[in-house]
Amino acid sequence: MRAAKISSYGIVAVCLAVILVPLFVLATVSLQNSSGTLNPLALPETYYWSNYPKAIEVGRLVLYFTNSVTVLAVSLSATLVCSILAGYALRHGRAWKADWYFSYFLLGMILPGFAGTIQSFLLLRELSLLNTHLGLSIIQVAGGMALPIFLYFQFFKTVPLEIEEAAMIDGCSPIRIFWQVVVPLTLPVTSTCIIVIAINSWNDFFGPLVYLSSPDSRTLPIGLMFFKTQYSANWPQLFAASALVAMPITLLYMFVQRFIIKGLVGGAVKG
Amino acid sequence: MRILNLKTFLLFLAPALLLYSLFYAGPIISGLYYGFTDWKGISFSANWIGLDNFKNVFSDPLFATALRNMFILAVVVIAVQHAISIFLAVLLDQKLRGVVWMRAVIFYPAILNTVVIGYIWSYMYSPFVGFLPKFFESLGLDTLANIDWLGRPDTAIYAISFVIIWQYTGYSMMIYMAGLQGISSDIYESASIDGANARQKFFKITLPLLVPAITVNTVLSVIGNMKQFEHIWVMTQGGPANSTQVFGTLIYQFAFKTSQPGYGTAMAILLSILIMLVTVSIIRVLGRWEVKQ
Repeated sequence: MRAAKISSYGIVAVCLAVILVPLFVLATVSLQNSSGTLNPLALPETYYWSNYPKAIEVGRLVLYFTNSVTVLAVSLSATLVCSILAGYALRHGRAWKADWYFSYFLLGMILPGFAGTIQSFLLLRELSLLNTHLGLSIIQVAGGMALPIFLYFQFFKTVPLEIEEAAMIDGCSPIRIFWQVVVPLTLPVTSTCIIVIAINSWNDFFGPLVYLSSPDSRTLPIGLMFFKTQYSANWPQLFAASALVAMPITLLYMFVQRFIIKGLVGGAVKG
Repeated sequence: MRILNLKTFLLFLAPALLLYSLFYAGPIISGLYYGFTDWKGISFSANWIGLDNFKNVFSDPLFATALRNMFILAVVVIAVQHAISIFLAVLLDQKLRGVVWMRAVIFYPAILNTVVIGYIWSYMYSPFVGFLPKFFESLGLDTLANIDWLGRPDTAIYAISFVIIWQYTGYSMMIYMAGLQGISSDIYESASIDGANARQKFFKITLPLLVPAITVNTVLSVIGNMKQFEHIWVMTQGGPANSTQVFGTLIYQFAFKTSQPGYGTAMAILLSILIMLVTVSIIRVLGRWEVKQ
């Protein structure tokens, strides 16, 4: 039994090393002299913290951070509103072929989004929404609502009908029942949805790559990608920028990691 | 009793239905038309050319490369990733010291941005200055130290595969852990009384009862890997010598680099059909292996 435990520790230690070494390399290289020879195997002798403020300035990270936050805020709120309403409609829409609409929405989890990219691109251009954060948010909302709709639908099925019927007998309108009786119950699902939607929007790469071509409108991932094409050999500065881009989500993860893991895994399993 | 009437039903459904149809489903479904045209992607108009795009796709050597790489990503990567993650899930389901912390570290790469991950690994692999060359050099393994992992057509796709496994093993592991928690400890106890050893318990109890989790997990990874675009775009953009092209990178290039979106759309249609076929077969095959607890 003891031998089994020791070998468990050994195997896990190897896996942890494989995960941690690249992250350690990210940190050490980001602190090295950008004009010297790099040594990824050890801590630097002098720490070049100045790589960080330089990366913020050269990479325009403050602007891109603001852009990312704007897109995230619009996407998140709009996706939540759309999917909670749709989930509720599908729950109570048996009489109007709700299961058809449901399968139609679920297609969104299977089909490759890039099959419709140019069509969406032209559509956004027609609407003058190309290169705008609103345009990208709309695309993210449309492409990301399938899972939240599914999760809300599954949740509403577990709410006993008696609760809503009782409110109805008391003379509540459907909209008031929804707003005052049902919505307050959705907090656990909503928190799962918030995590899934926020992480997807924050890390979205394909969307901003296609729909935001002007340098001023870039979000963090795309800004970081262009950082390399401009300063290709400067690994320390590039890694300082990368570490900064990874920072917000990492800090969040350190404080509420259980919550994030539960949200992402729970969202996936139920979907 | 009906909670919603037709008017409120439509009112609730409208925002989602409109946005989804206009900006997601509609564009994809219209691809079913554009795949049969010589569309240039400048406006919505195009000329019908029948099956020409599809004929060209099947004789395109890039299509064969994309299929081969999709196979590597969807079968090899998933086999390796899931073998490791099931094993780790069982290990970290025990009461070990610091186990919560270990799980969190192994899961961490899953939430990182692909661009950040792509940069880290581009550097890890990069010849002369990178981590792997220096690491192998310090061990005296000069042949390994001189390999340009991402720069050689025969190694690049495997180098990228490793990164994908590195990023998502923790994610699969967590899904398997959720599955393990659903297996009642009574079964293990009665197996112990009957004299089963650890290996028998794993293959006769854990693995069969984990099949539902395996189904969910493989479907997720297969769909994700068949749609792969980001990791490849960040690390190699399909190169060197087109050796890492997948459907995602090809469709993107046909759409935005070479102005042949009609042709790219034909590929996207084929990819969608493939994804649906594979998803349904996985659910069918694994569904047959499911056992009632």
